[in-house]
Amino acid sequence: MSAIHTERRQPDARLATLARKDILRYLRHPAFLIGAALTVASCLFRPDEQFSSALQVIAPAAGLGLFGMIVMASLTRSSDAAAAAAGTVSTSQRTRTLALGCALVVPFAAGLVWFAWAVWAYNHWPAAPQGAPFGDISDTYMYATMFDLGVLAAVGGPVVGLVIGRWLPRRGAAPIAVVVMVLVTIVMQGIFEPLRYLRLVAPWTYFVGPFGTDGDGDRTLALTGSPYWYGAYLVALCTFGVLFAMLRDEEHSRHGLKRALAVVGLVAVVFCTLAITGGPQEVLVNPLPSGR
Amino acid sequence: MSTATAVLDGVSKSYGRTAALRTTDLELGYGVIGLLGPNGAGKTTMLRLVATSLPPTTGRILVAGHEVTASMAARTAARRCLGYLPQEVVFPRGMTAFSFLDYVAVLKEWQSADSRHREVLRVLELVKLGDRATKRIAKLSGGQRRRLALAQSLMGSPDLVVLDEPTTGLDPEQRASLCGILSGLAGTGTVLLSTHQTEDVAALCDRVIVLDDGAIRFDGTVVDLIATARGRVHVASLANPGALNSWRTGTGAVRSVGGQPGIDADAVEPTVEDAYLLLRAARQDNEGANR
Repeated sequence: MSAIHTERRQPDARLATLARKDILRYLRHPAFLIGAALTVASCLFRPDEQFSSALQVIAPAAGLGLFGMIVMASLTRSSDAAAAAAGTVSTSQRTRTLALGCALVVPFAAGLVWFAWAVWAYNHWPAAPQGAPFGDISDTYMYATMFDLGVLAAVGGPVVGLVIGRWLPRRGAAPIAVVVMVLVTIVMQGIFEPLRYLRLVAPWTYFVGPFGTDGDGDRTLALTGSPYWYGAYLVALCTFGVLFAMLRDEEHSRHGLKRALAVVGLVAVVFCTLAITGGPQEVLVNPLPSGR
Repeated sequence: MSTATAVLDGVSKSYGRTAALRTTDLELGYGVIGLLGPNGAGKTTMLRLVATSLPPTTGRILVAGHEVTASMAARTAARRCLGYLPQEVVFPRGMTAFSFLDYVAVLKEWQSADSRHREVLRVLELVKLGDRATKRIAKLSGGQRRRLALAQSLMGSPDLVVLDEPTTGLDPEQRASLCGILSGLAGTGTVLLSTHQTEDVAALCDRVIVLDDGAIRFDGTVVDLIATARGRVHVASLANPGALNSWRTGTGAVRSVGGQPGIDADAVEPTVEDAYLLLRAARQDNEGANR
């Protein structure tokens, strides 16, 4: 027996093969295709006059991020179902989780494509002086917010989906998580004064926008915090999420993983603190009225 | 050196206070080995232990020379040598027969796409699903799904194939085909299967193990099992008094298993099922006597 066994004993290539498979599954998933189509459709409209493409971060965040939660939770469940149908396979759950983590390259690449369009559109249709950038708010600052809220959100959503797929593998868990995520995000936009600083703990929050002042409901404001450190915080959160999903495998020793989680968690707290304490510490108001 | 493909050394499995498998020593060599027993006897537990999908409460298990209870690395090495068909299989949604097997093949570490696809097509042909490769699993019949599940366990021609009720849902033609496949595997490896179909055991197995209440009650050849019932199965015009089981056959005679034969009773050659029933009854009698 085992005549063909010799062809499959290359453990180093095991992860790469599975990752390629999961990348293809991600690319072909209907929810990804719908989300990507919605994101592309948003690019067909001329950007906002006052903020240019910076205000369109909602499109990749929803199309790639929120839909990505559904995609990744579904891929995780089907990977588990295939492994369960085979009873026992030599590829561990941890390796399978890591391979699914590699598939995050799909939403990341899609997010980057959107980012490239957003940068081009930002320069092609510059924002009006009543919008952003203004004063201390530079173009780099605006690019950072677009990267955080567009590209990193496109990856962050699927990471949440991976965690849900591993720890709450029930049908319907991902859609419920999407609703919860939307509600949390709405609350954490700095609309409520006490949450202006705390909002940076949330995985998605605006930095600039037409939040308005007394007498000018659409006045452009730049909220507190550093989008540069916030980006680092989001990367740390994504890393934490993948490691946390890998922790689900009870067959392996989990000591090393727990240590890594503690370190990444600590790094995330530090970056979040820097995001809150860095950048403008007062809400900046565009001196020009919105004109709306 | 032992030629056993799998060894259970002092293995037991408990769920809380319930003993699913009592302390068991067992060696599985080449050939087809049938596992018989009533529901709840511990068959699935034993198969899952051998297939490394369940850790034992006590004892050690070796598969293809790897002590699976020792380390994750040994368990992984053992899993490369075995194929397992669970009792109940839930397939991933949206996959075709081919894409499912291809994905499982990747999980079984087939890296080269060419050889993987060849192997997927080979096992699909083996279970006679070659013409259903591009069909969605949801569109397959129950028997076809069962054969698809069987196909994944045969991928890579493993040294040890563990099958939990493989004939469930198969029609007689498919069962006969399965017997052909399994007997082919038995030449150079071990097939351990659980079943309620005693005729499958009679037709296919070199060795039979009867499990009851988590303990092995019989372990031997099919011929030896049948021999335990010799002289205790009769046909007559009336049922044997105290017969364990009796029924009127197509010829009008009454076939009785156990009990006291009547005057006109003729002893007939017992079957595996007769022997199994008598073995079970003997155990229940012993239990009753001990109470």
